[in-house]
Amino acid sequence: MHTTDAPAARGLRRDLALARRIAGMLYHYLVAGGRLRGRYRRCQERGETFWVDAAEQPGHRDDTLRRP
Amino acid sequence: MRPLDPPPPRYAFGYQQPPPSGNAINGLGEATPRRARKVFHSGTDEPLAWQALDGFFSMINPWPVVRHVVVNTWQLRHAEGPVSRRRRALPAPAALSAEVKALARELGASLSGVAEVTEDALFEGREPGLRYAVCLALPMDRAEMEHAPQPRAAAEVMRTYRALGRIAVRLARRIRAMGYAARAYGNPNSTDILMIPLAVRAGLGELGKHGSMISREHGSNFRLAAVLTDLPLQPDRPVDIGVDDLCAVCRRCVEDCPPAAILDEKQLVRGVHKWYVDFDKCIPYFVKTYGCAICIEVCPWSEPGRGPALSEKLLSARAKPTD
Repeated sequence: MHTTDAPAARGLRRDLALARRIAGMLYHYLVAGGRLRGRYRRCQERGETFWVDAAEQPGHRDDTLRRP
Repeated sequence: MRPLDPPPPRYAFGYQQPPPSGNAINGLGEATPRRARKVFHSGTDEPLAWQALDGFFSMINPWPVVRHVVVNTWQLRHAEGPVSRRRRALPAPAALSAEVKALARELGASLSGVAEVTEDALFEGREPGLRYAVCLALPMDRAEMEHAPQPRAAAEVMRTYRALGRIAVRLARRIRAMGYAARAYGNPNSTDILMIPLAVRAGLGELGKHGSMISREHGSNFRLAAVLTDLPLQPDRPVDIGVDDLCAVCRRCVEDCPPAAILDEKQLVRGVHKWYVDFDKCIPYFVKTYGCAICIEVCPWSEPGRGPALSEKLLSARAKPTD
């Protein structure tokens, strides 16, 4: 069975792995995301373009909080 | 309804190196059937063609939206689980389908239906290995959705997905207790299945001009989830409530779409003629407004209580002989 929608790990191990992942995603959303939102807001105010594919953007990281 | 002050389709974000067209990846204009490919929105870390915009979208979503995402992600850890070794004696497939659908409604789903999982409902490279899908629907709070395209509507969308995720997880658990495999899909970013083709075949509604489903009961003001299982169910049949008859002449969503992404004619997409929304125009606006949702709320079918009468009127107009 090839699927990624549900983790293969079970029970407590699975819950701990997911809790760690969610904590990482939240940290990323709050810290790196906070900086990104600030830069984006400044771009909006100045009428400039925020480049989503610029190398330094945190959106490129794997642990981005994905919207289910 | 009319959308509340929709912002103009001008963007303070963009690509330095534009990715391939989402319409091309989706197979717009392709005559040969093939499976869909992911462009944007993924529940995994697999790279997407529009990865950078997807990441940006995740980061700019406001906290009232994100908190539902977090809770849904956590509850979906039970999407899969151990299957009871003892298999329950089952009734005939039709009776079993009725039982499972009734259970889904008892758990909180507003609509439920069964479809066979076929190629058109699977993403490229995905093999969930379960034959049937129990499709689930839940309406969104109309009063909240009237705020589309503001963040308040986005929060209501994700609240509904969270409620659906809970129902799907519970239904999957009940099926596993019967001794059959079941996996909950309460995440709209599913990388395995396409919810809409399954829900259409399960008889929950029809595909509308705006690329979303329309049901007799809720118009477009609802969201979908599914449970895949190997229970020997009997699939439902697609319904005809007259959606094509209205979409062929109605232009509400076309006119109210700020980026003009909704097309007036059906398009050839991966070998099928169907309603299709211009992905390259829709998604930037979707990102800017945290999920937009204007088209589904201005749809005449979404007016509370209007669907049944509208369907009856359309179907009887079609049945009338023309002189």
